[in-house]
Amino acid sequence: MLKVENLSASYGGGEAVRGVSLSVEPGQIVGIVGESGSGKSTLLSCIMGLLGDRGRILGGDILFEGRSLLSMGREERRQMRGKELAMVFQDPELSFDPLWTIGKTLYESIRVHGPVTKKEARKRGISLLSSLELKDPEMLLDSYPSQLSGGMCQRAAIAAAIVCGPRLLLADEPTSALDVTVQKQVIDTMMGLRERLGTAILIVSHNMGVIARMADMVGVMKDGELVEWGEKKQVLYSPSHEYTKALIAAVPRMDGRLPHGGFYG
Amino acid sequence: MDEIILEVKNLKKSFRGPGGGGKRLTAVDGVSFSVKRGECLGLIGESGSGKTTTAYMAAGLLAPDSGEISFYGTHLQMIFQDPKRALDPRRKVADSIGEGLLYHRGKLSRRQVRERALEAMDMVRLDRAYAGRYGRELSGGECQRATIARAVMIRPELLICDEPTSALDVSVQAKIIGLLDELKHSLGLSYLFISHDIALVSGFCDRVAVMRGGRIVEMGETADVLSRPREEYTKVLLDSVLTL
Repeated sequence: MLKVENLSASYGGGEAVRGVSLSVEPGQIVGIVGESGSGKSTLLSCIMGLLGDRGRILGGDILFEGRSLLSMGREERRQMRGKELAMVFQDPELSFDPLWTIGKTLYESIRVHGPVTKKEARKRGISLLSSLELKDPEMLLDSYPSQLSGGMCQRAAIAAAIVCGPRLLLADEPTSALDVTVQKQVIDTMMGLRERLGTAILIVSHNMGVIARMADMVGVMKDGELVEWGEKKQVLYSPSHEYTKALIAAVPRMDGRLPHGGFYG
Repeated sequence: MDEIILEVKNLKKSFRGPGGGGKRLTAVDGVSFSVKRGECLGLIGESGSGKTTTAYMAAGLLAPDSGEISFYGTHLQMIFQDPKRALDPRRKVADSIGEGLLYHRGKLSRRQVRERALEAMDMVRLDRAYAGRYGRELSGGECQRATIARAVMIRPELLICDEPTSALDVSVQAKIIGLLDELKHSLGLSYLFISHDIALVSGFCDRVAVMRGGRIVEMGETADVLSRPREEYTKVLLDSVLTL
C-alpha cells in the first residue's frame, strides 16, 4: 500500500533521512523507533508532504497504491490528505483551531472532499465518535479543544483525521504528551481503528513500550538511517543490529533492575 | 538505615484557581512521609497528582500552607526535569558547577573551588574539557551531568530529583540513572525521586509512594507495591505501564 524507496531528505540544513526503504501493507501497523534527531519525524513529513521550506527531498520515491506521491502536483496531494492518508501529531491541541468546536472541525474536514450539509456531517461525526467508543459524542462535538483533557483531545484529533476514511494513518509520537493511563486509551483507540475499519497505521515513537504494544512490523532509525527492519518479535526481542540491542537494553523494565546504560561506553 | 533524614507531616498546599476567582485548587492535600538515610523514596503518579509541588515544598522552594518539614542533615539539593533550563547557557560550565560552593565555601579560595568543581565533573564523568565551555554548548545529557555535579559539590545528604531523566533520550536516561545509583553508594546519598515512569522507579527506588489528587494513596517497599498493589488506583496505573 505504501512503499518508501531509498528515500533521502534534508531538514534544516542536515541530511535527516538517508536512503530509507520500508513498506506498509493494508491493515498493518508499522512502528518506527528512534531517539531524538534520528529522522523519524522527517520521514513522516516526507510521506505526508509536510516538509515545508526547511526540508527537501534529495532522492528516492514514495509510492502510495503504486502512484508516486513525489511526482504529484500540489492540488492532487492536497486531495489525498484526509481521504487517502491522514496524520495525527504529538500535541493534539495544535491539531485544532482553538476557535472551532470539534464538530466544526469535522464538518470542514469532510467539506474539503465534497459537498455535505452540516446535519449530515454531524451525523457522521456522532457515528464516528461512537465507533471509537468515546462517551457522549454530542457533547464532544460541541466542545472547544481547550475544554478537553489531553487524552480526549488526542482521540478527537484521531477522529478528525479519519473522518474521510483514509486507508493509512500516520502518527507522530501520538501518546508522548499523555499520562500512562490516558496513553493506554489512545492506543486502544488506534488499535480499534485497525480492527473495525482496517486502517493501516505508521506510527513513530521514542517509546519502545508503545511500539511493542501496537506494531506488527518495526523499524529502528539512527542518524537518518533505518538500521534494522523486521517483524516486531524479531526486532524487539532478538535484535541483530548492535544499536538496536543497546537501545533495547536501555529501556527500563518492571523487573526491579536498573536499565542498562553501557551505551557506546 | 533507620535514621531519618527527611520527614514531612501533613503537608498541604493550594493555588489560586484559573480566572482569578475565589476558587482554589488543592495541589497537595495532607501528605506525610519520611526518607531514611541512604534510602531512595520514589513518588509516582500522573500529571496533577501533586508530586512536583510536594518535591518543591520538601526542598524549601515553596512554602506549604500547613504541615511540617524536618530535614535532619546539613545540605539538600535539587535536580530538575529540564537540564537545559537548569544550567545557565551563558556561563562557563565549571563556574556554574562551582557557584553553589561560593556560598558555602568557608575558607576555600576561588582556585580551590574550581579544583573542587573539576573533581565533581570527574565524579559525574563529564570530561574536564567541558569546564571552559558554555552551558548552551552541552547536550541534554551533559547538562544533566553538570547539574548533578553542581548538586554533589556541596556534599548534600539528600538529593530531590524531579523527573530527572524525563527530557532525555532512553539511552541517555539509562546512563544518568546509572550515575545516580552509583552516587547513592559512593556518597551515601538519600533520594526523593519523583517520576511518572514506573518501570524506572522499579529499578531505582527502595520504597515508593503512589500519589493521586494531592494525596498518597499507597506507600511501601517498591517490590511489594508493584507486585501486590492494594489500592485500585495503583492497579490501574500498573496496568497502563507499557514496556518490553
